[in-house]
Amino acid sequence: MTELLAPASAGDGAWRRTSPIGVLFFLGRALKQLLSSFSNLAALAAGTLVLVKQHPLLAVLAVGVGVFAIVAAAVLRYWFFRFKIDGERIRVRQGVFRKTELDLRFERIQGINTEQSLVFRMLGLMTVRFDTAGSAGDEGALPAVHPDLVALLRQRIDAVRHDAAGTQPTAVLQNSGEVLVHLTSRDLLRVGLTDPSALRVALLGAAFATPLSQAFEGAVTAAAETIEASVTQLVGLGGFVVAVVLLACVLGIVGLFVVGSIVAAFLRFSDYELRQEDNALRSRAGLLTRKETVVEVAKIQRLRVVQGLLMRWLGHSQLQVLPAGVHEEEQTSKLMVPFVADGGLKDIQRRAFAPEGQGLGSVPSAPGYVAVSPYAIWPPVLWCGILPAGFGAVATSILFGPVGLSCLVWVLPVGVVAWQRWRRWGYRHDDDGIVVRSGFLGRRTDALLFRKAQYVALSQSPLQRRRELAGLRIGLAAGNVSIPFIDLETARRLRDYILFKAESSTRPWY
Amino acid sequence: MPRFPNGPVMFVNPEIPPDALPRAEEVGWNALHPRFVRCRQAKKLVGFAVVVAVLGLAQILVAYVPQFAKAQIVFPTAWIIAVVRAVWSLAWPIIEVPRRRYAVRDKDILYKAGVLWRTETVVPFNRVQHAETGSGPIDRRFGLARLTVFTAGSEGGDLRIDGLGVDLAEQLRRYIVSRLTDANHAAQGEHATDTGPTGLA
Repeated sequence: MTELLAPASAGDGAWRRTSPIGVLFFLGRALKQLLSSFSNLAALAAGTLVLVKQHPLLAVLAVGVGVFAIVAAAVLRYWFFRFKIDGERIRVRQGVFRKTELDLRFERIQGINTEQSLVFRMLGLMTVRFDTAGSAGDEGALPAVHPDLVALLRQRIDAVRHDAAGTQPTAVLQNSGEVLVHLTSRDLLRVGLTDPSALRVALLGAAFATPLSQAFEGAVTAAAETIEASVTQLVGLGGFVVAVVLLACVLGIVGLFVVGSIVAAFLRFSDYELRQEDNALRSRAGLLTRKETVVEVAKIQRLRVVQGLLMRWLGHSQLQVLPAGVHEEEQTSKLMVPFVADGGLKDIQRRAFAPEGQGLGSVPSAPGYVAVSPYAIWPPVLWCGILPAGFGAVATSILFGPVGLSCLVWVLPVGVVAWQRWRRWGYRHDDDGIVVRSGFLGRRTDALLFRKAQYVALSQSPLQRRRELAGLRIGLAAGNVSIPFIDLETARRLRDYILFKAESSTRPWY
Repeated sequence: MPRFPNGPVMFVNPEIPPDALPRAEEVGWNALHPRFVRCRQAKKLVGFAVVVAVLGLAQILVAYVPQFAKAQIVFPTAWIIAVVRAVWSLAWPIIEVPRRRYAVRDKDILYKAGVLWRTETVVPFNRVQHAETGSGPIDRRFGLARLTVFTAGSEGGDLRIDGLGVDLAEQLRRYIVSRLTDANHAAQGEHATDTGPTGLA
């Protein structure tokens, strides 16, 4: 603690500032903060609008003062941002009024991820983000530093790690290592096309289009009349034209989403490359902002494969490599492989778990998954189907007579969904790890090594107890993986075996 | 019992055959402190006292302000609900607390709970980040404390055992921490002592 509290001696020369271009980073962060909350944005827009209407001159002044304040804050933040790197740690001091100091030991760093925006690329600078399995968050970032410094940091971190492991460090070279995945423009196009958000919008559009064309026909005609006479004439032709117009609108929106997701795919994954270097997986991609994500193989907690319906037709999947402290919802520090064939998937998985779990394939469409008990269909049917439908039927029958019994039809779709989800559930394991598959239309698999389990929980509902079944939850440092409805004996054996693997393992889990 | 189509593939482990693995369901489960039921009931009674006070005040207010006279009809129902709830929350710990059990083995700590939906959680000592004991004012009156074991696991990764005797909780914590320091590798120790961002202001 004394070391932390010691004043920074300005004369020792070890405390450094980043390049002045770093101001841009702080400016970007300030703008992001300002624009990230909807209420801020709404207040800002409303305030400006009112001012512009009332006092245009004052509005210009206010905007000017606002811009100046943001820029000044960015400059101040840049000025008070200093860092120091020595043999075993990096320290970052920042804050204008509320000062913070981040003391990050190299062995705690899971990986160094870099990011280069277009401007930084032109100037040859990078932003470094440290992945720490903790909650360093945004503070663990070094904006606008020279690539040489990044190389030095990587070297130091590697040296510390090898010291701890008692091995010789190997020289870390940029662009070294074996290329595992490289995406061409054609692949990116397919990534964009298979983006599930486009499909969701299409399904939603289809679901809404049918009732829309009937329910809102009147509203649409009324609206159309006020727009143009020609349109009213068209609408006058009948419901068919309205339906066509609506269909065109829906298709247009879907098309817009498809184009949007293709553009997003190109922006995010252009020139994508996944390499294995020595003991880490490194991905690099991006059209304007280039991001580089490194995950050390030993620190991988979970491999998640997501295969949407469209992806499945193309025989490809998306892979997420999750190190400790990262969840599947997070976008920042997980390593993504957006488009990979089954063969490549197996290869990456073998490398990620090497030397363990070599017989564990996490390909979602592969055969050999052990199904869970069909009783898994019951709980969703009961809680989401029978109970609400029953209540609905009773309530509506009292109000409207026997017609209310039609509510019971609700059980049918719920049953189909539950059945389909049950079909997707499955697991397979070898001596070292387990793969759990789930999903509804698409498929997801989660693969993990038993020895990385943080805790194991076995749970039983009344139904499960009666049928001698149980659910097993394996807690990891990167989310949980659950297998519902396996028989009790298997669940207990699996739990005991996972505990045995975790407790007898002498290798670090992170 | 349902049969699986493919049958689970059982492990092949030359050193320890699966049947020889230590079985978690065969451990001797320990009950929580006998005073814990009363402690839970006392906590509920405190809550009930607050409800009684609020309801009573509201009724007095309604009785004296003629404009609120119509609100008078709410009170019988409210009192019935409050009393039923109080009776239930006094009865529930008697049913539920005996279901809570814990066990400590050489390499892990186990905890189970639940009446209808039951869960058994096991945390290996070499995955524990740190352990702490704590107690509220009512717990202290009953001489009870809770033990919380933190792991790096997310969502439900922390094992919390309420209703241990103060001494026992402290002993358990010491035992777990001692297991941490000697069983864990040096790296884990570093990890535990290293702190994140430190405010200086």
